[in-house]
Amino acid sequence: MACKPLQIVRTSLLIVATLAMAACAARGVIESMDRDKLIEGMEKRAYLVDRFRADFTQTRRKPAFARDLVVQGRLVFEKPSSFRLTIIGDVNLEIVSDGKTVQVVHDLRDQEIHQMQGSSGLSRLADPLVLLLDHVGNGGMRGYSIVQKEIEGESLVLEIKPENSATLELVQSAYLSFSQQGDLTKVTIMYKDGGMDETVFTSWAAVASDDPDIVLLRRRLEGLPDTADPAARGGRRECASCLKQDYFFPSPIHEANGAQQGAVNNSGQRRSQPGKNN
Amino acid sequence: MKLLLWMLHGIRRVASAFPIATLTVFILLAAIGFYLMQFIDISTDLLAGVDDKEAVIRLTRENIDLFGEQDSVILVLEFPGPAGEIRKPFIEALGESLKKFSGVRRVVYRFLDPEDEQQIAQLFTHFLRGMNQRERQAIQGIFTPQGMADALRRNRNRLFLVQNPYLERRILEDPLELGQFVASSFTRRVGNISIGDIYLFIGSPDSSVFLIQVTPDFHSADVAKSRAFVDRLHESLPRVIEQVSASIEGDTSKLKGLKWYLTGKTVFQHETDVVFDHETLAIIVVAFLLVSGVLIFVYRSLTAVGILVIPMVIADGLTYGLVYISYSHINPVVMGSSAIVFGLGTDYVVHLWGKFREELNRGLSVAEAMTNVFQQAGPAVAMGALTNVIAFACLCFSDQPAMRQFGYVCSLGLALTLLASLCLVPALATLLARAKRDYFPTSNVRFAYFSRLFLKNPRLVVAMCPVIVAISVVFGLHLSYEKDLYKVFLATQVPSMEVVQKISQKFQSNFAQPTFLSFDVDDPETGVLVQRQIDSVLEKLMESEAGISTFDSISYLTAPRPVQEANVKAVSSIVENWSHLQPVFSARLAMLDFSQQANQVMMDSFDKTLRILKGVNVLPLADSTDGPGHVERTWYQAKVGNKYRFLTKVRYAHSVNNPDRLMEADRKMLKALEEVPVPVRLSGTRQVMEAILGSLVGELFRLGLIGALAVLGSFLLIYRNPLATALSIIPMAGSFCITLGALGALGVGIPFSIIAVAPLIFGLCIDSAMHVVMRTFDAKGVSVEQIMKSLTPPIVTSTVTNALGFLALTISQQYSMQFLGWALFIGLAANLLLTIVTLPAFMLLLESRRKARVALGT
Repeated sequence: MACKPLQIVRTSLLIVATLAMAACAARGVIESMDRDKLIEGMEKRAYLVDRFRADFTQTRRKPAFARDLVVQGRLVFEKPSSFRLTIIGDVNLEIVSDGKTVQVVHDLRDQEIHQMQGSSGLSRLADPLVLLLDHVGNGGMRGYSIVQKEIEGESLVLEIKPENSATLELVQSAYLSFSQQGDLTKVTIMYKDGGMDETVFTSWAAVASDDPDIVLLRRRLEGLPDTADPAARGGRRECASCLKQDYFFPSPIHEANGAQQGAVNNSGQRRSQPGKNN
Repeated sequence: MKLLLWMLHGIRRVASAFPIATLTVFILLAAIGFYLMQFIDISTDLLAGVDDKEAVIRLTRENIDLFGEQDSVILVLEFPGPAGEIRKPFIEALGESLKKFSGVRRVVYRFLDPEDEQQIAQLFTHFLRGMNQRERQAIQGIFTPQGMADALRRNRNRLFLVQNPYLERRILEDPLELGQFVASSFTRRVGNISIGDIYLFIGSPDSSVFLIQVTPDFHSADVAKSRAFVDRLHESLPRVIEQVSASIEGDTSKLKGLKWYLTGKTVFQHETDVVFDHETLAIIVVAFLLVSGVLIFVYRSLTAVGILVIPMVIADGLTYGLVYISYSHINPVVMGSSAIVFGLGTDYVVHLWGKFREELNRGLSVAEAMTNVFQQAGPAVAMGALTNVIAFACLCFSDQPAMRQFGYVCSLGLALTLLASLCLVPALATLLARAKRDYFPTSNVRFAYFSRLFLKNPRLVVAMCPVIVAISVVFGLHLSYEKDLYKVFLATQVPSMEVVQKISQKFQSNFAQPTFLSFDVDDPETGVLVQRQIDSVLEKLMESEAGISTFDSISYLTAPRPVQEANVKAVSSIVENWSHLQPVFSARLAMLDFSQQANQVMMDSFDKTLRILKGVNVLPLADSTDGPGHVERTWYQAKVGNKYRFLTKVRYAHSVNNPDRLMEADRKMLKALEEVPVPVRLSGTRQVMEAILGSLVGELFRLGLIGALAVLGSFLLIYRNPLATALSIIPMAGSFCITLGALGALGVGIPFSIIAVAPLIFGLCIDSAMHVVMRTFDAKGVSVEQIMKSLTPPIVTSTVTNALGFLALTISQQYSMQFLGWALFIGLAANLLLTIVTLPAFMLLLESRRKARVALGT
């Protein structure tokens, strides 16, 4: 029987959203590497920020693929629960949601529409701020154990094990790299099945309500079908309006600054191992 | 009247002459009655006394017999957070364990097992054979080079996103998205729930709540079996859960803090039954304390109270004996009749002993006093009892067999109470007269203030009476039956109802009140065709605002023959073209970045798809009554005589939960189904409750009218005094109107217990009124004031005793009982005022007129 696309979406969003929020909150607390202060900073920022944009480069290694797949991505989020996640590169996808409906566009060609439950865990998972707050609020984040702190070049690397998190139970461990200024620059997640994700943050910014990305997000949300629409129940259709020049990134995407930092080499092996001295 | 007096004096003479023999005979008979009480078979079927003349009640019963009472027990598993991977082995093992419980007919814990290849192949075969035209075209599109390329591309994207190994495998095993396509067509069947769980368990969208639905092999109305079954579940489940937790592999730490609940119709009724059992004793104790308190307060002697209650206790024993003889089994409601008989019987003895004391106080001997009691108070007591008997006998005209039984037992009990009172009061008086002390019950409370209330402003009192009655009638016209059906039929604050509210919110689907659609056809082939039409209508309704969340029918298991033939033809052409498709698939797969292992899984799945498609062609065309999935079909299709019945289960959205919206949703659905060529009928527990309650108002007025006419007719016939008859109506009609008016003004919805209100108020009210009227008309030369001075103590005592007895019902957790308690309390309070104030005021005015007329004539 088939899997459900929404459940595919959730894990990706979970990781990206967590990373995005971590990126926006870590500044200023890196000196002490204090986990509680880090979470506190996230919490404060989560309340303060109404909308943000995060650019990243993500590398994914999975047993199902013969090589590592690399994408550039952008997450644009606006409270209370609207977001647009776009990835381009080895895989091209756009995911747009208003918290009630999720639209997944494959390769600028065909789209799938799914309904979300208003108060369900699915929407919670798909909503980065709510997810984070949920984790902070229920002590989930504080339950992560920090097993190692290392200095790697000019970065500080924190290895955490989210072993108490039911939503991250397939994660073996995660490595968070912070710049000396306290910015989260990279997150590497090792999965229990041998898979690996590496996300390098190139930029994070709180954005204004007239930012082109926010404008585009709203435009895309307007294009979402009514949740009462029968097609909104697991249907798939061609995406006629997708092939536009500025479809993915209306504002210039920030190229990964040293994007290959920690990325894979041609042989598919990582150049540096976060959390471990070379 | 003369005959009545002759009979009364006959009884008095015999009882007075043979007091010990009389007492012995009654005590012996009562003892036999109490002994037989244990052998009375109280029906365990709550619906035993529910009329099945109503089509919806009959249909619901039939459907339960044919298809089982689906999901009448639901085991709710609530994890502290998302359950994680452990849910799979845990729920599977627990579900399988439940299947082994005795009394279980069916257990459902997942929509489908995605890992059961045989089940999946069967599902695909059913689907491919039953596709509609649109689905057929879509399937043909999937098996084209472009269709395959697009599916592989999308699956590659999905694999990039997903981290869950289980989901990865599901994607790899469905390279052409055939499974996804089938799944999307099933969305209509499982609705919003479908996104709940990747293993297709019946799980909430946040993966924290899972359901195991159990269909027992008995009717939930069978209280005994339900009770034993639910008790067994409560007792065994902790152990079973512990065993299952210990036996499965994986991270069982997530099972810590797991909560489980039982809910569903069987559990509702079980809990209500338990509440009923517990509170029955509490109500009896409270009623006994209140009534005893009043009697002790009035008579200031335990001996006097004991003497008062002897006839009622004996009458109760006699009633049980006759109930045993009359019925093989009785409805549980009927057992409540003894309290009513007890309350009304108090009235008789209080009046008899009250008059007896009055006569003794005049200096008469015991024998003379008793003769006067039977001469003056006897007819009123007998007439009052007769009217009570007639009022309750009117319940025998009810459409509900349980009510008919209730009416019969109450009227029989009251007749026996009258007989016991008339026989035992003179017998006891004769025996007590031999004692050295005065043990005769004596009222020690002064009622002078109450007995003179009517004198203050009789004209105003009389004028106010029609005004109050008119206002009450206006408010009473606003009465309607209570629309919250579970409030009427179940105890309040039943834990399982709270659970069902919780899961309904979690699942966004109304779990408490499923609705069933059924239709009968001559042959199964036609039935399947009709079912398709119904499915189509329901799908349209799901897309509109009708509020349907899910529906479930036989259509996913079978299809009409022409449809099957067209689909087999379409699938055959795909199979024939397979040799061209396979190289295209391999080439496309090679172009993508899948690992060798993933490629192999996808190739295997591709080959498996061919086997499924071939299976569609190889299998003979299945007739609707055979083929695979025969057991599943019995949940949706059954033979009834020469016809075939098809059942569709519909669940409304969580938002459709109030009575008006539910009825509106039913109405819309039936209207939409009018286009179907056969009549489609609604059934279900909610509809049964509505049918029962819907007839209540009409039933109330019908029985009320019959009761009033019978009571007044019999009074008129025996007493032959139209004016007295008209006057005796005043308290009865007035208190009935005031009761309904008060309930209407409070906006109280009426439950089925309202049917008992009319005869009780009529019986209780006319009894006291008769004493006032008959004594006034019979006692020549005695003023109304004197008569009220004599009658007010027993009237107040018996009315307050009865009112407090009924007030005890208000502590019940059952709305119907509470309603009955409050209604009768209001009715009796109104009756007391009407009997000791309004009625004497009328009598006083009549007396004044008579005196004026006499004076004028003189």
